Amino acid sequence: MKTILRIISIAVLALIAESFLPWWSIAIVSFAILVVIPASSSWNALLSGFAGIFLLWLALSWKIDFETASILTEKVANIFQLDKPVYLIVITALTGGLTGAFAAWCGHSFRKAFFETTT
Amino acid sequence: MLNTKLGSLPPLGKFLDPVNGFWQNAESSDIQASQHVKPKGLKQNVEVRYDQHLIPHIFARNTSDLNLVSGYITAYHRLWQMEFQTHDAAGRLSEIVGEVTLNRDRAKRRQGMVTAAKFTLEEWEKDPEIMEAINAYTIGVNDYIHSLRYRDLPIEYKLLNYQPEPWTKLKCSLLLKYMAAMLTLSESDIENTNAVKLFGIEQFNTLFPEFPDGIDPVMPSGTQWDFKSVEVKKPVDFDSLPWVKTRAYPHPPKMLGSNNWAVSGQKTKSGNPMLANDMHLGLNLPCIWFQMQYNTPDINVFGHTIPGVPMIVTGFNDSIAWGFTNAYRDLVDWYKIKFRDDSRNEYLFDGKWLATNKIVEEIKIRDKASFYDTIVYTHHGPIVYDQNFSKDGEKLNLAMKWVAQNATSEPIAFINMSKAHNYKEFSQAIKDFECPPQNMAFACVDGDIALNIQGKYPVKWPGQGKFILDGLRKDHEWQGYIPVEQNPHILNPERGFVSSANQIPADQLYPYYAYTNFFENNRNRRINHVLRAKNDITKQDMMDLQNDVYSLRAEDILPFMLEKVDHTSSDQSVQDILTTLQNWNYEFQYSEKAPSYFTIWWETLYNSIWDEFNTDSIALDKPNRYNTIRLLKTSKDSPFIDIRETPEKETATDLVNASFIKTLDQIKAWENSHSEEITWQFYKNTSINHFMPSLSSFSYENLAIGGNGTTPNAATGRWGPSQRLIVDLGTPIRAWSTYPGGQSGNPGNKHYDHFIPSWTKGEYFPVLFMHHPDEAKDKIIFRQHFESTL
Repeated sequence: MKTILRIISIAVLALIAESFLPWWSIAIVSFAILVVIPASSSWNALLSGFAGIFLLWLALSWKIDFETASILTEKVANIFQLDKPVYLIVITALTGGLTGAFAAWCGHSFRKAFFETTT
Repeated sequence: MLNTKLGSLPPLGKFLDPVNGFWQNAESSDIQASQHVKPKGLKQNVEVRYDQHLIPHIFARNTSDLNLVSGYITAYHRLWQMEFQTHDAAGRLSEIVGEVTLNRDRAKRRQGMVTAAKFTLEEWEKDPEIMEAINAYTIGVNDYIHSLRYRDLPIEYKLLNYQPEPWTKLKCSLLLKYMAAMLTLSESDIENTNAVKLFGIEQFNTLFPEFPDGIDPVMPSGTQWDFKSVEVKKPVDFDSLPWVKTRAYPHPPKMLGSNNWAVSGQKTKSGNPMLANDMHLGLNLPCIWFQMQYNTPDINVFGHTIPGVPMIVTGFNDSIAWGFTNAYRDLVDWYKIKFRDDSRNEYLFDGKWLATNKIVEEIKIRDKASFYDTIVYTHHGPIVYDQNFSKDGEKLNLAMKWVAQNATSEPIAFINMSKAHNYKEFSQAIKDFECPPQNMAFACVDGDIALNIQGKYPVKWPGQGKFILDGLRKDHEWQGYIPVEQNPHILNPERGFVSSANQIPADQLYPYYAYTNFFENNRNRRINHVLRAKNDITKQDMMDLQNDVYSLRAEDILPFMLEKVDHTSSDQSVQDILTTLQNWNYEFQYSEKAPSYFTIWWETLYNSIWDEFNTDSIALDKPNRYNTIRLLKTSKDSPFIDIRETPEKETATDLVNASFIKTLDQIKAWENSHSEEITWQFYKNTSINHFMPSLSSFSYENLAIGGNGTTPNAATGRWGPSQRLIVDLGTPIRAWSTYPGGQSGNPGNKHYDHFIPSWTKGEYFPVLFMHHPDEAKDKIIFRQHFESTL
């Protein structure tokens, strides 16, 4: 349950942050959420960060591609030597997802290092 | 790592982000601009109406506001292109793309582009009318630039990962120099010098005649000139030409050209004068032109602007229409300079040592240390070629004297053309237009048609500047300029039409020396032939002639080739090729194979005739194709017909047959390496390329368009009609247009390539010419209000 809450929080807050700040604000959001809503394990942290941003970027880029009938996706996919626009959507989502995952893992480690000292 | 640029890839995270990255450049509607804009400095409210082709019609109450909004709107659609082209003009491309463009940048710096643009801006500053427009335009462009966040940047900035810099008035001036460079750098002085050294002056004159047979000048042959021309003194002794091996950078290709004509009411069906213009330039995206309509209490004008310069260059208003073709002439001369010593601080001129002026140019290179180039200025002009900028470190010093290095005031000419109501006002307006010289066709609702060859031309003695000049001698300098009223011009000629297509300006009755190696002799003869024969001309006839693909070159030479070639081959495929050529009507239709066969055969023949010119070690131009055809058909024993590498003495028949056999091989080789048939469309491959060649998916290839450089529809591989406009000067005035691109510079907008299909097919859209912001509501797709905050 908490994992789903983290994923949704990351996606929603990242969208808001990105509307005002540069793209790397998604990393701050993923980091912060993992500090605020603790994860049970590093894997869980990675998954939350990855899924939150992956799903957000997948949905947004797919929506734009659909609404614009791939007018630009096709051309840019071609520059990256990709055969189909859908590959560019997947690469976009993966790039976001990996960034989110890495930041979330950092947030998780940060929390463990400074807030969950057991000794 | 995802925020830094990796090699040729943009920073991935930043670029792929759907909220801020390239995805935001994909547009689902025609225009996503905000409907209410409040730019600083606007004096009164301005209304803008976009028609269905995304052409803005600006309604302003004063000129300053008009130009401010024009700057804002142009930047909205074309910012990347405006900046990229000014960077190119200023020799600054390496800042953006890296070392690959260093030589291109050095050439620009050495030609003195920036210095010339600065002089020109100083000249403009003396004219309040020019400055009002340029200042307001600059404010408008910058207002738009300042409003941009990363997500709003044109996609090219995101791909190349850099930021736009503020617009300046100097950039407007640079862009006009950029056009001037595109249109006036055509010269063969070095090549001519070498050819005379190799073949002797007599042979040279046969190969490169200044008035070949059969030409049809812009001013009808036999036109009399009743002015007293400026005298020019030719030095008596003229020899000892220096030897220059090669050029450090190639001179512009010869494909640039254009057509314009105007027909008087006596030759049109409606009785209205009509005007047609298509300017042939490099086919690039975004298109070099941006169409707009300007409406203020003083003017109502529609036409083509160069993004980055506010004025309408060609177009029409309520009373007149005008169109340009390039009026070639040798406008660049090279002076051989002798320095006192290696310090290059002094050079010899007229028996005295004069001081040079040195400017160190810093060329910034992306991801690398800057390159510093010292450019030495003489009173002739900057030293372009020296040991630091020649192909093989050749020891020579050539100063460049070029008309575009002068300060000029074209903007005021454009402003006054837009305002003109009749020929008297128009011919007065164009007097300020100096460079690049143009053949200006004109038509007016009052019935007048005219053509003025307008520009600032140096007075030259016959042969001056055709070869490298001696920088030591005062009598080798330009002695003055042709008085503007003595430029060739014609008003309402008896034949009922005026026309130009980059041919020779006038016959030998014109008292001034008007030479270049770049005159075109096919399109203009075809256009004049059609216009002479036709009466009751309609707009469709005008369109048909702009899209005409009949080649006089093919008509001139193919029957000769077919007569000489051996027809006895038993090979069926050879017979098929010969039959295809025999049945051909000389039209370069895109769907036919005959134009491909002819082109391969003719080019092979042409190159085998001039095998003497095939050398990389010396800069040489082959005689042009027009004269080659005349020589081939008339002089049987020319030594050039012989192929030097073979012991036999070849005749024209031998060359025709040998080249035909090579042609068969080339056709086979082409067919083996392509999946398409060898129709003209695929052999020619007309393509419209994005300014960044690496962004090939923003480009268009293999367009189904006919024509070649010799036909009025002069669509070649990379060059062609950069716009087409036809104006009917009736009441109301009507016009039809198209161009190879679209109003939007954004590859993610449907107007990026909107006109390409119609341009390719030879179709036109009717131009919406408005008088009031509230008319033609059904044709308006977007309304924009610019509010004054004062």
